[in-house]
Amino acid sequence: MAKRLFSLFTFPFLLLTALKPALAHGIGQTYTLPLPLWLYLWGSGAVVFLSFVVIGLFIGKRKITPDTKITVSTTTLRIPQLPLRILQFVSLFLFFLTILTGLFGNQDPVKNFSPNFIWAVFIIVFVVTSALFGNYWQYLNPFKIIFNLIEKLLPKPVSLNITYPKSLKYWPAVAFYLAFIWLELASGFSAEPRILAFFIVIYSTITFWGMILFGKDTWLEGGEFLTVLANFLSRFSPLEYKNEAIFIRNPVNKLIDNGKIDFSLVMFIILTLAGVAFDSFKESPLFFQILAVFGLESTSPQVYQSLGVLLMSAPYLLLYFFFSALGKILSGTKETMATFASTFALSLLPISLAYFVAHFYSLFLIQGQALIYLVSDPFGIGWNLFGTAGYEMKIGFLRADHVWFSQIGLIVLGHVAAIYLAHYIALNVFINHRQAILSQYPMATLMIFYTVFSLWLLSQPIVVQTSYPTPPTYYTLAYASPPYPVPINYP
Amino acid sequence: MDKRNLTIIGALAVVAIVVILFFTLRPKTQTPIVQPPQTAQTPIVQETPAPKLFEFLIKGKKLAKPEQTIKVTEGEDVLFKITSDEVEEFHLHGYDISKDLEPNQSVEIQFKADKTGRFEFELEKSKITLGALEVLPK
Repeated sequence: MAKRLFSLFTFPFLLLTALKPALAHGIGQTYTLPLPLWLYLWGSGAVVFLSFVVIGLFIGKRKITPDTKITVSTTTLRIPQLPLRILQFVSLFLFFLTILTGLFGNQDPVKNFSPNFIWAVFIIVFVVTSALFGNYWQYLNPFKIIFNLIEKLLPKPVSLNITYPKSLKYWPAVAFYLAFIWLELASGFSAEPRILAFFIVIYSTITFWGMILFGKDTWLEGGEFLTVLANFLSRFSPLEYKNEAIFIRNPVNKLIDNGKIDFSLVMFIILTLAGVAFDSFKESPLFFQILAVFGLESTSPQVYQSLGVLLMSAPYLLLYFFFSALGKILSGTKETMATFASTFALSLLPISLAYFVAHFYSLFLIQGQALIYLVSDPFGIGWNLFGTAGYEMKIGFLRADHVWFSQIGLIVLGHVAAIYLAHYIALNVFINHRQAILSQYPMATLMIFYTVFSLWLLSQPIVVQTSYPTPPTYYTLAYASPPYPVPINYP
Repeated sequence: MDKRNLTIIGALAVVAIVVILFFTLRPKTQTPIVQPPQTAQTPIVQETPAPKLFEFLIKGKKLAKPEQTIKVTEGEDVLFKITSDEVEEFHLHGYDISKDLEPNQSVEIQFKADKTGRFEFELEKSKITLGALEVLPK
């Protein structure tokens, strides 16, 4: 058993090492211009100003009694079964199509369904629709659908139901989420169809083993990062699904209802902030200046970007702890700093979501168009199933100034929502009104830091990163000093 | 009307004023004024302004000039004169313009910068990014 298990885990890794990746190029261009200075200044000004407005609204306001937890519409809405089955089928279909096109399709990223679907469509649509329409992922998660099917087909229970180690908490999900960010932003081969497909296969294997060992729901809740992400994002939606029924709830109550969350989830939220930020940060002049200080600028991009992804959340976390400590001291609460941090972490979600959408929506609108021709030819082998294979991507419709304004608008909105939420939580947690208000000055300052940093990142000039000759194998990149110079030029 | 409503209305009024200020104080991007050569007395028929010229020099697959990020304003005519020291293909993303390069021969590309955004240009054959053209909105 152990031996078979081992081979199941290592098989995909062995295959991976045998691959010779070329460096991807040409996918993921969004043509977005950096924010001009005047907009950055106005945006930052608005952020500081609106923070005071929100704080002002809460002064003098007494403790908020949370509304009744679930507001059910008079007639309970049932989830219609036929559309649900169809959507589940579509989910499964897309899951297998992504893997198959990645493994066996044309390996030119531009002509392959897999990387275009995952990076330019799936992850963005997943985040936005989960926030809008609630936790539908619990029904459409392909891992769960497959597992349910297997359970139905087999007479004996599939799950061994070994007790999930308590200390693991949500850490597996945090680790996989970090791996996901690394693959997307730092690995250098995110757009390589076959490698991407291998990663999906590896992740699926681990997820299935997790479900087999610890039970389906236990593992999905703690170890499947998309489920954890959906659980967070669906709090923004007024819709809630429980026991095949649809409920309507006030999102504010959903966003604060558990109050204190586990530290591993705090880390997960910090990762949502830091991960997207790193995508902009890795192109900024400051990043290359920091690399130069540590003498890392001549290593390969994979090495320094991987380091960057790993370290990016550190300053975010330290800043959060620092201001949590300040909030604890100012409010004079007897709780520990860690408890304070766990209590308010959920209020960071709007900043994170707003920045994600602001950063990635142009990728969806531009690169996402690739799907129009790829649905006709997902493997990139000359098919024309729906007659759209000749579609040419349009870019003129997305004006740079419209992108700027929407980015600023989204980020400012996210910031206001975050300050509002944090106050709401404070008024619920602290019995003393004065304590609640005092605890929020450090929180508001922290959020101003985070938000202005987001705006600053978007306003940074983009350093042109010239590519370098394709290395013979992945090993030369990872383990040897690169035989080619990596030019860095400041704008 | 209680104090609280007044605060809200006051806050909204201030926000409205800030938004109005924001749009009225928005700086205009400077369009370079190209003066057509003034010939004596003849009434000047509106000439098309001379295109904005960038001379590229590519040596050893690197851009020797101009700087890596070049900026133009939306609607301007742009002229690239490209000289490379080896056989290559020049490709401008977004506008999707490609041109073959011969060693030490100047090649010209002219186009109207009608799409805003940041567009990288590269050596297509060796997949090396040279720099980027930023087309700023009018």
